[in-house]
Amino acid sequence: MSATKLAQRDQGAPDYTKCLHPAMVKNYGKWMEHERIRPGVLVYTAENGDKLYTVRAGSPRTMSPITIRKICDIADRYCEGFLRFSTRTNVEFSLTKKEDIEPLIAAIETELGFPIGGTGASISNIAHTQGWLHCNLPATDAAGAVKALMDDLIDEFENENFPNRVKISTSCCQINCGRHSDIAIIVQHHHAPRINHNNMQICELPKVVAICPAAAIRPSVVDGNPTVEVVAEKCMYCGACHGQCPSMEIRDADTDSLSIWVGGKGANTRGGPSLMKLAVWGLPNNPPRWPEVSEAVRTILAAYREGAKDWERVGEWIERIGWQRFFEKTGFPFTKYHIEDGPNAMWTYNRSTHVRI
Amino acid sequence: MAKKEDDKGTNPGLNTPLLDQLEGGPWPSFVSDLKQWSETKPQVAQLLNQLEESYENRWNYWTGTVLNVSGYGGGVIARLSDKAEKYPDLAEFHTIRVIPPPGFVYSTERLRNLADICEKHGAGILQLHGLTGDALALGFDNESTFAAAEELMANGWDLGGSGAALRSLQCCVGQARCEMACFDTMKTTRFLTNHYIDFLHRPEFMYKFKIKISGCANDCANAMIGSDMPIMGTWRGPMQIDQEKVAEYIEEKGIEHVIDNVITRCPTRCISVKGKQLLVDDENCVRCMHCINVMHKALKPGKDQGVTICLGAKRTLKIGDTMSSVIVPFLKLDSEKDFENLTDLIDRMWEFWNDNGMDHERIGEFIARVGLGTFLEGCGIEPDPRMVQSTRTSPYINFEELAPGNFEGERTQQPKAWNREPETRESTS
Amino acid sequence: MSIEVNGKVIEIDEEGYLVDREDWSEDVSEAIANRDGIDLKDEHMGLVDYFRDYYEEHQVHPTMHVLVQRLGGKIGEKFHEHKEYEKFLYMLFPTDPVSELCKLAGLPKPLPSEHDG
Ligand code: HEM
Ligand code: SF4
Ligand code: SF4
Ligand code: SF4
Ligand code: SF4
Repeated sequence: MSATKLAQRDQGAPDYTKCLHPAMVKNYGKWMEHERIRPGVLVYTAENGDKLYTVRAGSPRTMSPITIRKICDIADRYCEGFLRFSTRTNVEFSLTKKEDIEPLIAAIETELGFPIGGTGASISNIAHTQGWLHCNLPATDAAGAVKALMDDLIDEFENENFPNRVKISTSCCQINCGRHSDIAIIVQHHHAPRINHNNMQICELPKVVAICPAAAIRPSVVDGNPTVEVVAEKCMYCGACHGQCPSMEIRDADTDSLSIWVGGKGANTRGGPSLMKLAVWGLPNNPPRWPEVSEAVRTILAAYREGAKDWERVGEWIERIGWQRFFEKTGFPFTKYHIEDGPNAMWTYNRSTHVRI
Repeated sequence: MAKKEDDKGTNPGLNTPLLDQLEGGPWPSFVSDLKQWSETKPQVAQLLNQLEESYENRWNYWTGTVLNVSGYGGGVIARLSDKAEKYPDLAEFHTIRVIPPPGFVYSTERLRNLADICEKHGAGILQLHGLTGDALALGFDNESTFAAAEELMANGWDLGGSGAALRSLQCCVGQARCEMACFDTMKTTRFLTNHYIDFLHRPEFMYKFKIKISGCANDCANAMIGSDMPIMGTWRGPMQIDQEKVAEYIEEKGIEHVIDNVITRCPTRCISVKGKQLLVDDENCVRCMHCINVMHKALKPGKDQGVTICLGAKRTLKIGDTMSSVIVPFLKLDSEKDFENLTDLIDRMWEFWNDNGMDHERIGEFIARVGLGTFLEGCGIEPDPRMVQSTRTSPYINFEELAPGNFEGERTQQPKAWNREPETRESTS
Repeated sequence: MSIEVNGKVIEIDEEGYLVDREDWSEDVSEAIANRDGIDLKDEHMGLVDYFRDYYEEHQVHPTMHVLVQRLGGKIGEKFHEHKEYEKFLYMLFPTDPVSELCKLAGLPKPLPSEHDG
């Protein structure tokens, strides 16, 4: 650890101008329009008529140097040595020669095995997190769940057959790193944390008490040692305490389940951003391929494709047709658990006589 | 633990029947990739075997710990395996967060360099990119974390943020390749990253602070719901309309299409069609980008461009989800002075939050607790009706100007409201 | 693992945190600091005392936020400039001042909850 000479600290973000395709440098801020050649392939035209073609390919996000170097080889061959990753972990290859598009696509498909797509009204790559591969909190996996789901939805990635784009995310604990999405898959716990009183000395108890949003944790003493206890009736199984203190185990392999939430949107288009809402709960956490989740997602997607108007995102569609129709079209049950509780609950009730009868 | 790069003989052999089921199918498989890689790096085989056990038992085997590189208070996500006896190479298996070039653009030289360094010192697995906006490099033990960090920094990389700090910033591709972009997202991202690098590397907030930057309301960087402070491109004045292309579009798609997909979808009903022309009531346009997305050849953002800054989004822990709301309706972001205005604003907001927030309180939770009005006053920001959807509905208000004198008698009776000059607040900057 | 201080064997974990917090003394602090290559001066010791007092009172260790707010106070005109105090702390303890101070003050090792996400 006592390295003789330390490298320079605090250099900050790398210089992006050295990482841009020459056509991007030349036309920085001077792009005029874009057009879709086929799903996954776009052409951007600059004011001076320059054209830049971009091919988007789905990546698994977690990659070995073998794959990274293959990506670089392809970018060296066709893209003058530059490439980009999108927010949703797709790889974007940009090139100026139109005749190179087909060979580029062939190279991506054969050498990398990455599918081309994820543009426009398609299902783009699934935003996901660490899961069992590398987080300390997960009750399910992330990359594997995404692989299984995307295998199922590959046609929707490669084509643009929806009213608008669909963003899917997964979260492997209740912290929800996956964030709001049109369709989000989240883990749900069903018991108050099990406390390992023998190991509570490693934690600072006031912090554990303070972290609980439901005020369910209070100090206590077991076998003469200071520890905490949980008022089970108050606990809402959020797992905040587990994030704070590893000795408060919230997970349970036998009972943890998955739920699906719909209608989250970050874009400000039309009605603006919206939070996602509960659609289905109680799906089994069923590795390695989580077939029940895939099926529920496909059910929602089918109803959305069938019912939504062009440009409506999932949430906007549901808002227009109402939740009653959503449950009718998808066949999922509406239960008391779908009704919000908590301080803002009243605002989610139907406070009018507007009822579809 | 000791690395065993060159001694392939110790590869314990893979036993992953469940993960193997994730190898078939059309989507690229991280399992196949890592399996192949495990021939070179035995610790990857152990990683896969442990993951297999997770699949089998639906249980996780990582414990978090804290590890920091000299001079830094974050940037390493340290993990210890609970199965270190069985998988000795996973005993310490940390992730290094690396700040990627803004917009996730790479030259192959840079990307190879990153992969080479990560392979040399650790397991070499890369995740491009984490939702936090970092390039993630997995699989370093304590010693190799330090070694890799030094070599990364010697090669022009820097560590990302973690903990109660400013996190690595993230932006959309912006002006580099998008005609919708209303300001230079990459430049802004790099500028803010470097300006606030102390805050990114050495945590001192109560809790994390994320800034994400999108060139327009389409929000490709997922800023609105994924960051404490979204900086979003927008414009003042009229949008650009090419009426010839409008006419072409109407001829091609038909007037019904335009009515159904553009006119009726405008959130403020401020766009209308007259013959083969589009009319936009620019005063009421809220710059939502919808019509521009649909008719992207005919319509464009206006020429006088800048940003709208929002504040406060976070996911559900602890008080439930909060969404960002407008804090600066419009700010130019071109000149040096503009950038100074921006950092001045951030400084003031951070100061007020830091002086008054509670432990673990994100800025959105803080605003929810003290109220936006108090927050604005504390930061010296003028209230603006564009910050709210509506004025308040609760009539119980503490009007400072109208309150009668203190019982202590310090303040005398105020003049009647209708006789008084309205008090304007001076900004405290 | 263990270290010997004034003839007494004191158990520490791999990273140097005391196994039994009752074992703490200034000399123990010094021994742990030596182990980490830190030359304890008055500034260091003052902070160690602050950590012990704070923990005594609150049963939690001070966060960097607390240190910067309470000890650093306001430096300079802009919020940015008050980073100076933190830089000073990093000068004293180049690798994660808060964790190091917890170690030297004989407090529990900080958990990663504030470090992730
Ligand atoms: C011990 C606690 C925590 C751990 C271990 C943790 C871990 C992580 C990790 C590993 C990621 C990156 C995921 C990836 O892209 O691979 C992440 C991102 C994220 N975390 Fe956490 N996290 C914690 C606490 C929290 C809390 C309390 C919140 C919410 C209040 C939160 C909200 C998020 C969000 C929204 C992201 C997405 C990234 C972004 O929007 O920038 N995390 N977290
Ligand atoms: S969702 Fe939870 S388990 Fe998954 S990466 Fe985020 S913090 Fe870890
Ligand atoms: S799971 Fe959530 S509600 Fe339950 S005790 Fe823990 S912090 Fe409190
Ligand atoms: S957010 Fe706007 S400017 Fe940025 S890439 Fe998306 S459409 Fe373009
Ligand atoms: S940008 Fe949005 S608000 Fe403005 S005219 Fe177009 S649709 Fe209407």
